[in-house]
Parts: sequence; structure tokens; C-alpha cells
Amino acid sequence: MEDDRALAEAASRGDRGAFDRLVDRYLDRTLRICVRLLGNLDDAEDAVQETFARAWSRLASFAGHSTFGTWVTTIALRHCTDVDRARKSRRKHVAPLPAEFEPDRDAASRTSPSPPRQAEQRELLLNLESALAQLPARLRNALTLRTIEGLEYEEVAKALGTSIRSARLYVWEARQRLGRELGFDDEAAP
Amino acid sequence: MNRCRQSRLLPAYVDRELDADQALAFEGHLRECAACRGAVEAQRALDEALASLPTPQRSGAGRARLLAAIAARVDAPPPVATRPSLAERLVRWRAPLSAAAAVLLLIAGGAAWRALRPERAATPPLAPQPPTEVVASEAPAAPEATEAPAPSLFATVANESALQGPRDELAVILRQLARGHAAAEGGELLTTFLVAAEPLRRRGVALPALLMVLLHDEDAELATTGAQLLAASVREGALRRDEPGLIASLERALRRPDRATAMVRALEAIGTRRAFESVAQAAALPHLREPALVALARSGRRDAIEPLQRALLGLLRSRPTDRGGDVALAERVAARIAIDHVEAVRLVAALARAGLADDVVRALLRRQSTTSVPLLAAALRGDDAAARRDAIELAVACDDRRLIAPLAEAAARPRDAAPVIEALRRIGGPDALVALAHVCEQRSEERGSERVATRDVEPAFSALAASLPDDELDAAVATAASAAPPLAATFADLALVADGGGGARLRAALLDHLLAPRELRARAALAMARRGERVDRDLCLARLRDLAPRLADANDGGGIDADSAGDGGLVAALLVLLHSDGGDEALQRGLAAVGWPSNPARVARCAAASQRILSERTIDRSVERLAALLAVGP
Repeated sequence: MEDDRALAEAASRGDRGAFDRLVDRYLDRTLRICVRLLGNLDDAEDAVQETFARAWSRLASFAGHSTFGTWVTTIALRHCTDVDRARKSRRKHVAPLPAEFEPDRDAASRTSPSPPRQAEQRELLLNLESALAQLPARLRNALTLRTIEGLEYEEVAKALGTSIRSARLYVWEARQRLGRELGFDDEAAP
Repeated sequence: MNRCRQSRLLPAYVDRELDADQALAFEGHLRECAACRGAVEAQRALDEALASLPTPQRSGAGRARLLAAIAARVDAPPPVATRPSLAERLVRWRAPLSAAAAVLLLIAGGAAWRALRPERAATPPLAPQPPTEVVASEAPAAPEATEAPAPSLFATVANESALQGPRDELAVILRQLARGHAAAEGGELLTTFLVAAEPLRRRGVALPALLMVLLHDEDAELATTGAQLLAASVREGALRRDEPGLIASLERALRRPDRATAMVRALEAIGTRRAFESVAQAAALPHLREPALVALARSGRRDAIEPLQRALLGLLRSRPTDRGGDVALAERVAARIAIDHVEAVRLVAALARAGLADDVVRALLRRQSTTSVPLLAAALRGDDAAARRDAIELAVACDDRRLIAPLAEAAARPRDAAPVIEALRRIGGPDALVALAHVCEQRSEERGSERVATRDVEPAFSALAASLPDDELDAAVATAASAAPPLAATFADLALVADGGGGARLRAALLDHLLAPRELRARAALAMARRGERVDRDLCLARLRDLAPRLADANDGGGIDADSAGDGGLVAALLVLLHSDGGDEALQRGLAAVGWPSNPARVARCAAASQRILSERTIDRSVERLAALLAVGP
């Protein structure tokens, strides 16, 4: 399998095939991040399109200091932040996730918690979604990349355009705020 | 508020970033510090909640739609600043003008005219050409004679002796344009021209017809600018593509090397079949060979393919003395071929067979992967055997992973199998094996018979497996093991029946893969036993040792029971291998080596099973018997 760097170099020379392979490789992750940051699939798909269109037009500026995936994530984050800011300024409500993104009901039934337990879990997830949406963008972005997408702090820092230390602080702060919002024990502080 | 001094380590501990010693020490602290323990528990609960958030993903059609939308965005031209379109300006030119627009145009036209007047005085008048001579020189060439005898605009121009004056005026405007707007192209040039020539239009002069006459002017610069304006007029709808005499006029003009390229571009702009026939004929002229062939190549037209193919094959097969230049020309032209339809794919395949350099073919296909990959995929899936053969040949050069699936489908066609296997190996490697399993799964659904589907796909699967090295077979097994269960099962079905050395190595890989479902590993072991295939003894023992702890847990610490379901099948089959290799003694040593209780009854049972399996003629029945014996499904 060709590595990202070779594909990105080929794409920057105008090779659409190479770029298409990179899109294919990073589509799912970028879509997940955009859905998580924007809260609904339609906006997320628009953001993904915009992200890759920008990536294509700016390939010449991709210097290879980070991986292609991190670079694309950076573009996606910035775009989502802009969209989110514009949306909040219009006081639009964040639409709930569509049914297709609801938790795997079959999986839930396989672990077979009791109906009251299922209702509790459902409520917890809704509260978590809401609390995530209320976080400042930089905290939400950091937490999404680190905890939900599993990126290393170095990648998170590059994507956010900050230092690794700041990235750690953002993630921890986001964790603390979510913990408090969800009513978990919030005695701890670093 | 957590006032514990150790709480500074909480973030790193929660993030699992402490090293082992630090983590151990902090866990010691956690046992004593309720505040930190509570914080860790809270963060673990949060992690659990975050992990259970719905995972957004698009699959199938939704994902394909999104990919297509991205491709469309990437291919879209960048937005341009809004300004009145040329079409709008043309409408103004052609339609009655409003009073205000007329005033503005008159001012603009007048200004241009005033600016041109001194130039006109300084420029020697064009050599007068009697109108009748113009008509004679425009006598249609042979192909033109077939056109409908519509009243020619040239005739109108020629018979209008009063137009000689406007013709000279137009020449002055064109010269000015040619010098002052050399950098302008197409619509921009036409717009400037229309403004400057407005006074002529208002005097009733048919400008497009005059442009055609000027293509033959002695001044090549003038003729070239006229051809550019003519092309722009056609593109913008100011001049009909089938204007009588238009193509014949261009055909005559392109015989003069000093303006020939501009004429070819004008023919390209006209873009009718008749125009491209002219371009194809022009390729025979030494001074137009390359521009004409390039025009045909980039036209993307089906009717350009045949003359283009003839010319390029001629170049590639030229005499050894001319070969260097001709081949280089063929490569330059081939690099411009627009791959917009299947005939273009065939052309490229024919050129590749005739010796067109691999890197040229590769660059061409990859640069146009947006169209070339779907065309190759369609040809691979289609019923046209020749198109399929071409697509198989080009797929390797294209080297695009989107072709793995259509190649796998083509591989199931017996006639195509040999070349397509090579293409699959080079493009897909391990993923190609999984793609073949996917084809088998689809066929099984379509035909309602797993057996028939497996029979169709197995030869390609075996051949591909035989061509892949061990590490790629391992990778294929890993991919299949993590795929959806039906696909994993189909992959295993194929792996179990695969013939040849590839099949044996694949079964060994399946047996060896820790993440493969236990049932698959058991079935691989059964198949190996059934076929009498040898696996590496060390691998067997290592494999059994790996399994032993997990199986021991599953059996409440009672060790492995060959009579149990699931892993029992695997265990027994491996014991069969040991036994068949070295008898009861080897079996006992094998049992001891993995720490199983080797009581005589178990040894006897395994030995009996081994003998039965190896002596059975009917494979399925032997598997059934072993399955019944060990309570594991075949």
C-alpha cells in the first residue's frame, strides 16, 4: 500500500488518482470528526466536501511537516469551527443525530441490560451529546481527536495548531467539564 | 476540590501515559486516597460513556455518493468574479440595442475607431482581391462538395462590391487586435473585436463572413487573428458551426504553414464530424502533423479515434531510421488523449500493445483517473470480451485500487482468468483475495447456491493464492478475519477448497491467525487433516500452546478437552496431524508438549479419529464423522 506521503506528493503534482486514494483513506475519519463537531450528518457531509476541496486546492502548501491525515483534520477542524461559530451567531439549534447514527441497538440488546438500564444509558448519551455541544470549540476539538478518535497528543497538537502541553490541558479541561456536567464525581483536579 | 498532591498525575494516569513503574506507584496511591480514586472512577465512567457514543459512518451507497460529491467539488472550476457574460454582450451585439446601450456602444466604438484611424493611415491597404477571385478560391474541396448547396455568405460578401471598404477597415481592426491583444483569448478577444467593429455592424456588414475571407490574407498575423475570432464566434454562438463554406475556407488556409495551427484550432472549435475529418486529413501535411494529431487526441471524440489510431500506430511502427522522432511524437500525442469513452480505452490498449512506453500509458491513465477508472471498471464488468481484455491489460498500468473489485469479478470468467490474476496480484495483493471472496458471496446470493459460486471462483482464488507470498496470505487472512462474518465464512470456504501450494499455505495461515474466528481455524485444521497436508510441527505446538490458556479458562481450569465443541475440532485435527506423522508416541509427546492430560482414552480416541479420517474415501463423510465425534460442525 502506498504511504500517505508518496500519495500526497503525487497529488500535489496533479495526480487525481492519488488524491482520490487519500480521500478514500481519510473519508470515514473526517466524517466522524465533522459529525461529532457539527452534530448532524448533513452539515458534516458538507463540511467533509469542503475539507477535501480545500485540501486539493491547497496541496501545494502541504509541506509534509505533519501527516496528510493530521493536515486534513486541521482543515476540517477549522472549517467546522467556522460553521459552528456562524451557526451559534444565528442561534440555530443543533439538530439531533439522525437515526442511522444512533447506537447499535442490536449490540445493546446483546449485552441485554434491563429496560430501565437502557433508558438510563439513553439519557446519559443524550446528556453527553448536549454537554459536548456546549463545550468551547477548542476543548471539544481536542477531546474529540484524543478520546473519541484516539489520536496521539502530538497529532492532536498539530491539528489544533498548538503545543502538546496545551493539547493535554484542553483534553483534561474538557474531561473535567463533562464530568461535572454529567454529575460524575468531580472531586479531582490536577 | 482534590487537594491531594499526587492528583497532578491524574491526567497522565487516566490517559495511560505513565510508564509502568509510575503507573504501579500511582495505583498504590489510589488504594489509599479516596479523592484520587473517585476522580479516576469518574473519568473511567466518562470514558465508558464516550466510547458508547454512536459512531457515525457511511457505508455502501451513502459513502459512494459522498465520494462522488467530493470528486465533483474537486473537479469544479474555481469561482470567477461576476461580470457580464460574453453571451450577454453578444446578445447586445446581435439584438436591437436599447437607447442607452447604443449610446454607450457608439461611444466605445467611436473611441476605438478614433484610436485606430492613425493606424489605418499608416498601414498600407490590403492588396485588393476582386470579390470574384475570392469566390473562386473558396471553391469547395472534395469533402466540402457533399455539403448542402446553401446560399454562401461568401457569395453575399463577394457580390457586395461596396464591402471592399469595410473589409479594409476590418483588417485594420484585426491588426490592431493582433498587436494589442495578443495575450487575450477567446471570448475576451471577441468582446474587444465586437466593440471595435460595432460601426461596421451598424453599416450592415456581415462580420463573420468577412472574417472567413480574411483567413486567406497575405498577412499571416491578420489571418491568425481572424481564425481566433472565428473560433470564438463559433464557441459563443455568433457563427453557425455548419456555416456553408466555413470548413472549406479553413481547409484551404491550413495548407499555408504560417497560419496552419490557428486554422486547426478553429476546426477544433467547430467540433463537428466534418471538421474533425479535415483535421485528420491535415495530419498528413508535414507542418501540421503534431498539431492535428494533438487536436484529434484531446477532442475526446469517438470519430477521431480511428484516424488517430491509424496515425499513431503508423508512427510507432515506422522505419528504424525515423523511429526516434516518430515514437517521440506518438508519445507526445498519446499523452494528450482524452479518455472519455470506451473507444479511447481501446485506443490506448492498442497503442500499448504496439509498444507505446509503459510510463506514458501509466501517466495518461492516472492523470485521467476520474474517467479512466470508471471506464476500465465498466469494461471489466461488461460482456465485450475484447474490451475486457484491453481493460485487464490497462488495469495494471492504472494501478488503482478501485479496480480490485471489477477485476475480481472478471477473474471469475474462466477465459480471462490467467491475465486477470496477474493484474489482481499486482494491484490488490492480499485485498484481491478478499475481493474474490466477496464476488463468491455475491454470486452465491444471486444463484442461490454456495457450491456453484465456490466452484466458479475457486480456480481464480487458488491461482491468486499461489502467486502471493506468505506475508500477503497472512495479511489476506487478517483482513478476512476482521470482515463481516458472512464474508469471513466465504473466504474460509474458498481457502479450505483451494488447490495447489497456495491453498495449503492459505490454510496454514488461517490456522495460524490468532484473530481468526475459532470455527474458521478449526475448519482449516480439518481441511488440512483431510488433505493430509503437513504443517510445521513447531508451528502446531506453538499454536496449541497459545490456545491452551484460553481453552483452559473456558473449561474451568480443566485443560483442553478434545471432546468439546469449537476448539475441540481444532485440537483434535492437529492431534491427527501429529499422529499421522508419528503414531501414538508422537501423539503422546504432542499432548505432553502442550501440557494436556494425556490419558490413554484420549490418545486412543484421537488416534482412532485420525485413522478414520485418513482412510475415508469420501471427504465430506470423513469430516462429518469427525464433526460428530468431536461435536463440531463441518
